[in-house]
Amino acid sequence: MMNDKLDLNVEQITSIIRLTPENISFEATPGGFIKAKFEGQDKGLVNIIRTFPLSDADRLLSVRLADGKQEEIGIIDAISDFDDATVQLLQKHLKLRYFRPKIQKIISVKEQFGYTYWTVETDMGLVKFASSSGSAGSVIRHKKGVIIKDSNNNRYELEDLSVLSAKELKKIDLYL
Amino acid sequence: MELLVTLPDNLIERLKTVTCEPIVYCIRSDITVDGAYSDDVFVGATKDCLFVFSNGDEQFFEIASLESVRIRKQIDNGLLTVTQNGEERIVARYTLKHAVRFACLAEGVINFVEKKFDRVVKCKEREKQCPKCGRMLRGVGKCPKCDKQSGSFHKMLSVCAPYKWLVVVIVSIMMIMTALSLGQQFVVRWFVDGFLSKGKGTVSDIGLFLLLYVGITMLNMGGQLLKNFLCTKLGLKISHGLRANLSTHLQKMSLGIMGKRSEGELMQRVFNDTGHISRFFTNSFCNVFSQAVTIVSLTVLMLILNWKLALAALFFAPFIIIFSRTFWPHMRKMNHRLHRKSDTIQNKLQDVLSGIRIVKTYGREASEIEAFDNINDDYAVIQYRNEKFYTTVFPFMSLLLSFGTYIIVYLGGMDVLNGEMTVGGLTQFVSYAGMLLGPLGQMSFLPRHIVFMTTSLDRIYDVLDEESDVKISDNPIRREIDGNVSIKGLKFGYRPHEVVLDGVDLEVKKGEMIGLVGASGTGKSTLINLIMRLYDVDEGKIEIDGINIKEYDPADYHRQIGVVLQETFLFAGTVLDNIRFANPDAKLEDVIKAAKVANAHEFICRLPDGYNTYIGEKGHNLSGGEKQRIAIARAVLGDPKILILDEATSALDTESEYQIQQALERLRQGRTTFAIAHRLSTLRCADRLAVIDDHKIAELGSHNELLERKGIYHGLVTAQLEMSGKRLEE
Ligand SMILES: Nc1ncnc2c1ncn2[C@@H]1O[C@H](COP(=O)(O)OP(=O)(O)OP(=O)(O)O)[C@@H](O)[C@H]1O
Ligand SMILES: [Mg+2]
Repeated sequence: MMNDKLDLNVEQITSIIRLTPENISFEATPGGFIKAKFEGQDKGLVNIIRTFPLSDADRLLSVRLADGKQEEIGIIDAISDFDDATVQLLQKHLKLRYFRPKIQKIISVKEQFGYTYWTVETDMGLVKFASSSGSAGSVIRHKKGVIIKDSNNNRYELEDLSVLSAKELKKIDLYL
Repeated sequence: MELLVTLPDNLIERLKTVTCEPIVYCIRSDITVDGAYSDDVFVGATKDCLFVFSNGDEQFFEIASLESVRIRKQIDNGLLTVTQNGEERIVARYTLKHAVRFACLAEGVINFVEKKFDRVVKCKEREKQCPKCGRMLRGVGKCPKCDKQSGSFHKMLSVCAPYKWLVVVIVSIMMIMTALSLGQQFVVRWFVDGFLSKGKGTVSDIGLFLLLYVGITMLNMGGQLLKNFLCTKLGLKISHGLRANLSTHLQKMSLGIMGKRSEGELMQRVFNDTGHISRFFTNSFCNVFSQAVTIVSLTVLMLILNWKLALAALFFAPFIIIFSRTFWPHMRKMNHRLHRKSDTIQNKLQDVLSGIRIVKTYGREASEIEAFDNINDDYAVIQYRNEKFYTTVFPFMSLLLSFGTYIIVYLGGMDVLNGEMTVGGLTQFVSYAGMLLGPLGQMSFLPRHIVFMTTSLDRIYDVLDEESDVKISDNPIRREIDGNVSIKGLKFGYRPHEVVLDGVDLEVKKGEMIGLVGASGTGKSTLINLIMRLYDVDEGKIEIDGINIKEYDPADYHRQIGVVLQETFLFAGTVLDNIRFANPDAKLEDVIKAAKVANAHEFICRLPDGYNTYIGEKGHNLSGGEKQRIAIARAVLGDPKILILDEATSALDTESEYQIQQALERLRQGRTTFAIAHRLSTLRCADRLAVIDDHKIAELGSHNELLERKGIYHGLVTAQLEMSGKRLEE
């Protein structure tokens, strides 16, 4: 004799609410966040979360309330379902949410006292960071490239190893 | 961490036009809100103004106009926002490098917003990078470069100190051996000049020469053997000593510090770093140092014998050094790569073997085999490349070395013809040149070896120097406690900006049983960690029998607490060892009694070796519930005054849980008990229940009282009853 309330919960927990331009709309706030209106109802500030940030960055985005228990409003199947203005807005928000500079050029890599010191040119500018040399998991293979995690847990992405020059490859070879 | 960096002069001037208050907080960020890296972002506050200077842009916010200041965590970055007139606004952005500082800043500014101007936030967390040179700091907060004078050499000496006689013996042997091999050439010279070149001499002269020559060689070989043996012994002794020191130290350190370092990192220090040191003393210290002694004495001797030829020989030294310096790093890299690959192979193999059940159930053998083959192929390729390299480079190396000798033979030959040098002298010289140039290449790496070793040594001392967070008071109290626990205004977070508990007050009488309930992750285990004093509280205090917990001697205090923790941990050893862990002298009957209380006696009797069954990694496998019961027996045997049960019966079936409850019920008479359970029925005999929610004790009272309040507890009970298909009224 299962309780009705519990049955309902199961339904709620497992069902996916799909968000489409028909049931949700987004709007930028002057402060730099986005607000959502779902089925005519104001939801306040929301966060857009990538459910597969590495493999499918622009698919299956979870839209959640920015505050409180951060409940999920629903899931956007593909960002391209929305009109251009909304796509731009969402992309801008995602840029703010996910910060993972892409390494474009390796300037120097040095090992000293148990850390590897990197100086690299990224799409966000020049940056120096240190990764722990010994520990596993500071360099993770990802698709055609690698993701490097520094000692502060910041992550940097090297999208494609094959575009590096032979000289650069030689510099980092040992650390991959 | 520093929360007040100096603002550039022009910005200070600019700020002065806005406010005349002094700067209280000022921190840097490394990115602008757009995410572009910049060295020119400063965020800070005076008592009346929050300021942001970002790459030429500036923003000022009057503190009085702010409703709130907060940070919003993003992925791999964060945002600092302010709320004005109900509108939340992004004012700055930071990477994880500055996350802790921003959290502290927000906390500090909030105090100003709430008009608590006398509260200045300090950041407990240690600086991670050297403010001077940007290098990563070590655990004790020293920079490996800037604080170099922390005495690596001194440490090296102190490491050797207990074995100083061994060192003296080794050094003396090294000296004697050098003298012998130098002297040997004098014998050769004497023989060549005295007999061979003059064409006289008898068979007995040759016999004498052979005797001397062979004798010295034998002596030298004996010395070599002895030296190698002693050096290995020294290396092993030193690393053994360090390892012992490290592990004792680690056991004494509080969990707070252990938590800061990963287990892998600590393991690495214990094994790899001590290994480096042992290798240094075995290989470098003896071989390289004895070579150093040889080189110095040879150079001096050669200069005395014939300075012209000596200079000619030395002329080759730089070439050899350059040659080996270019090739050695390459070889080292190649070796390194090979090692790495072989590690990967091992890991992969281990992965597959330990997960063999899963691999098989999902039918993934084929793909796993393929993955393994790939790695294996890589390994073979690298190995082949390395071998090819060695076979090409080494002949070159020896050719270069022999060039030096050719030149000396040429120049020296002229001297002999001119009568300025004897044939024996030349022979001697040629041998010396070979002895000098050979080790030179290796010698050029001595500085590197030393740096390697001192780095390891520093890393070890880094751990050894670290003081325990949980300090033992000067006059630690040792006494039999009664078990009255009083918690007042407790605040605690594992990390400075993430409070877990805040404002917890709780009075527990001796013998009382308190059930702790609440959602997962609310801080129940944390609260008992604090009661066990595995960590120290940030604010407020915990008193046992009216005495602050910090006054007690931790070891003596721990002896009087019995714990069964959420993650059952058993040591490798027998069942008996594990039960007797807290009380190694306990009588066997008492062990059985304790096991009976824990309802473990029955299944232990069914084990092949009974109480002597070896459990642990390679031993008999126990089920989760069986392990828990052993842990309960262990807690019971210690006759604790305070009993802590963190999900102690979660892995048991209802019947044995019921039995254990009965037993514990009897046992807990006169003992203060803290019990955590998600299955609320487990806590039915608790005197009072404390519901932890929102960082504090949200509800406190007996089962019935809490039900009547119809609050959180009521909700939990209803939900659990619904799960089991009953209604509360039934
Ligand atoms: N060693 C630690 N270092 C940092 N954070 C920790 C540590 N242990 C626990 N936490 C965090 O502290 C919070 C409280 O954890 P705690 O273990 O006290 O929860 P709990 O109430 O016992 O949960 P559960 O019912 O699941 O056992 C959690 O958010 C957890 O992530
Ligand atoms: Mg817990």
